[in-house]
Amino acid sequence: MTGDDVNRRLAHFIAAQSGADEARIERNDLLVGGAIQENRALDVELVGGQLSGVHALVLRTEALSSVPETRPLGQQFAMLSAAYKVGATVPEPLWYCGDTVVTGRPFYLMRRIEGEALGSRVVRNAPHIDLAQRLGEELAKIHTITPPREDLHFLEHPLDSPAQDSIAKYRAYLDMESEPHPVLEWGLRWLEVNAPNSHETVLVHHDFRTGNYMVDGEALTGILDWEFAGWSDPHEDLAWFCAKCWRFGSSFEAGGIADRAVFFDAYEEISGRKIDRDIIPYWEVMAHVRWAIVALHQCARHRSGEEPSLDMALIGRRLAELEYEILVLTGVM
Amino acid sequence: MRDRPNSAELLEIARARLFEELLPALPPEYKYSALMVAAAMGIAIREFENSDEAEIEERNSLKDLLGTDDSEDITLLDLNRQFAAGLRIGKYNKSGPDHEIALHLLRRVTLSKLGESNPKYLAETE
Repeated sequence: MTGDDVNRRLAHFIAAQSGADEARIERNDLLVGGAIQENRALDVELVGGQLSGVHALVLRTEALSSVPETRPLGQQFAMLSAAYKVGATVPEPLWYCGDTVVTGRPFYLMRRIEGEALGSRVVRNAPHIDLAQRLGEELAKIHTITPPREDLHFLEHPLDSPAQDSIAKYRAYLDMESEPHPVLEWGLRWLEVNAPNSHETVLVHHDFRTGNYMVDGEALTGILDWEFAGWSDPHEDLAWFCAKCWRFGSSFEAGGIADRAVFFDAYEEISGRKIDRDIIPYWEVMAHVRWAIVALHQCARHRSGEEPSLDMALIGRRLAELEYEILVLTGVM
Repeated sequence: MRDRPNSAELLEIARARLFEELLPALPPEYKYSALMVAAAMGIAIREFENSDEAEIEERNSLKDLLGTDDSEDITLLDLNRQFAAGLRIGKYNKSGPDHEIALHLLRRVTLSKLGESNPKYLAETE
């Protein structure tokens, strides 16, 4: 199918969904930065209907190969919609299409937001107090989404506890690896022994960190990358945001942009939930183990020949940094 | 016997050329790629320079810890498999006699890997 065919079918789909008489696609360019999913920038002119006018959109297409835990696009759309409805700053989700006839793969459209997401640039000139507070508030809003939810019926509930479930999942992944990873095994055993006894269950974003939100100057324009979201302990998101692997070399512990207290206080103010600060380091160990597992998986895509890539090859060599942090956090180093 | 320069020496001079000649001449959108190439070469150089010493030491320590018979021809991979399996079931937890030896091994191997993969990381952390 040619690009013209795709654009014609896409325009037809958009016109039908938006109630316009006609949709004209003025621009359809590949956006860089989506390591897993393909994102395209679309400028669409709608003629007639309530949304008449020109719209800047993003077309997100189902990935060809997947990273573990990546949710199908339709589910991502449902979670993005749920977050949008509770007032979180996310790109407005517009229409999902599971029919592969239109572009060859499932896709959805959302409004395009502008700004900078690159972690190393966002942390520059830190601290960014307002931004850290805002992100604390945003996460609190996201965490107001709790089970049961009809619109999120596809999300699995933890069988045991979110921590024990993750430990079992990561061990199963390590069992598929061709090489053993003693430090990760050590970390997982530590996590097993020290797992929290009780937990709340909320919708966690599961990748809420610097690099996954967009800013325009100091202002937040949107929280991105919802493909890993699911039910878990809210502390998991809070610790992921603060984990050393997501500070981009900055000395500020909350996402490289501010002190933890700034982020935590803002979160508590909106959520009314008291953060258990003693359990945060536990979830930071989990964060490093989880990132290590993802790194191994990405590297495996390179090594298997499925997707040869220098970037993914080098991610495999970042394992030592993560293992070092696991040893530090568990008191070994 | 192979002729010199050896692989590390070749990579080093190739890396110097990349930095001195190519990188400044590249359009901005390719600079990141070039730095990735340089990073990969850097790891390969450091790995070569460390030769197999670190792994030989690791192998001996693992054999000691696991009580493997000296005459046994067992690979580093297999030794690490046994070690990993032991760690999973808590064999080297605080109460165990081999706790300190196991932790020492984890520390040493991690620092050695980090020294090859990202020596700057350690420098920045300290």
